[in-house]
Amino acid sequence: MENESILSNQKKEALQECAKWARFYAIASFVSVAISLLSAVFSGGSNPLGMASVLFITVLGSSITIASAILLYSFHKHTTVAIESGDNHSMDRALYNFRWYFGLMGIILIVAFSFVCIAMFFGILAAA
Amino acid sequence: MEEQSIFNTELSDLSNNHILSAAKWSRFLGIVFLIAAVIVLISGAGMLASWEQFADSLSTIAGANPAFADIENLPKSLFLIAFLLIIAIMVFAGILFLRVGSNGVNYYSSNEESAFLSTFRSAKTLFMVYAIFTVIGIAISVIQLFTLL
Repeated sequence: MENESILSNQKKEALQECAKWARFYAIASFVSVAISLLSAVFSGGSNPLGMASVLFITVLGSSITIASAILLYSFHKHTTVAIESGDNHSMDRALYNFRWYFGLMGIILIVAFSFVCIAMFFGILAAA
Repeated sequence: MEEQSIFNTELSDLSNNHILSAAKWSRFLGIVFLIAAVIVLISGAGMLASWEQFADSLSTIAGANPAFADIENLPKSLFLIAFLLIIAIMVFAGILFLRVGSNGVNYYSSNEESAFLSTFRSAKTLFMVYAIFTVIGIAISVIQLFTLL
């Protein structure tokens, strides 16, 4: 059949193992997001502005973590379907998620690095 | 420029392109992690070299924010261990990302089974390490949350 992929057993095993750990990491990420949000809410403090900024940073970080966890979980889900059914379309979907996990990490790193550079630039200007 | 092997029959062209793209991003991440580790190493060395100035600034911060009071009393050796640990983790992560990257690109150009296996085994190790660190972080956060409550 045109839509079927014929992967060797070793390749299937490597993909399955990778997908299993991706799922475990995704679930651990979801749990860590829940706990960090709870910590941010219960951390207290008397300064409302400080609390708001802590909450904002926590929500931002949590959003990124959730996005990456969803990509990893989808990678696991589609890999499992692809290996069981030999479906090329599922394998494409799985590797699409795998690709975009690394892509997301790279984009976030570039954005964070840009912010750091801008902050350093303004810091130097202010010092001068 | 990476060229694809003409003997590719197992995965579709789209799948192989996804692997190549993931490998390129992974290589980029690996390089950034290693550069960041060097920067942290230099910053840490500078900080430890001018320890008294750093301790003074910690005292100033602790005075303004009581949450940092405990950090002020920590010994210098603990900061050194923490720095070395952070650098080791960053280098390890960087190497893992680079392995995924280089093996992925190698697989795309050669379609060798060993390269495919190395790519996803390296990715598995990466996810495993991050999962373990996340679980440790969860345990620490839960303990902190209980102390807050």
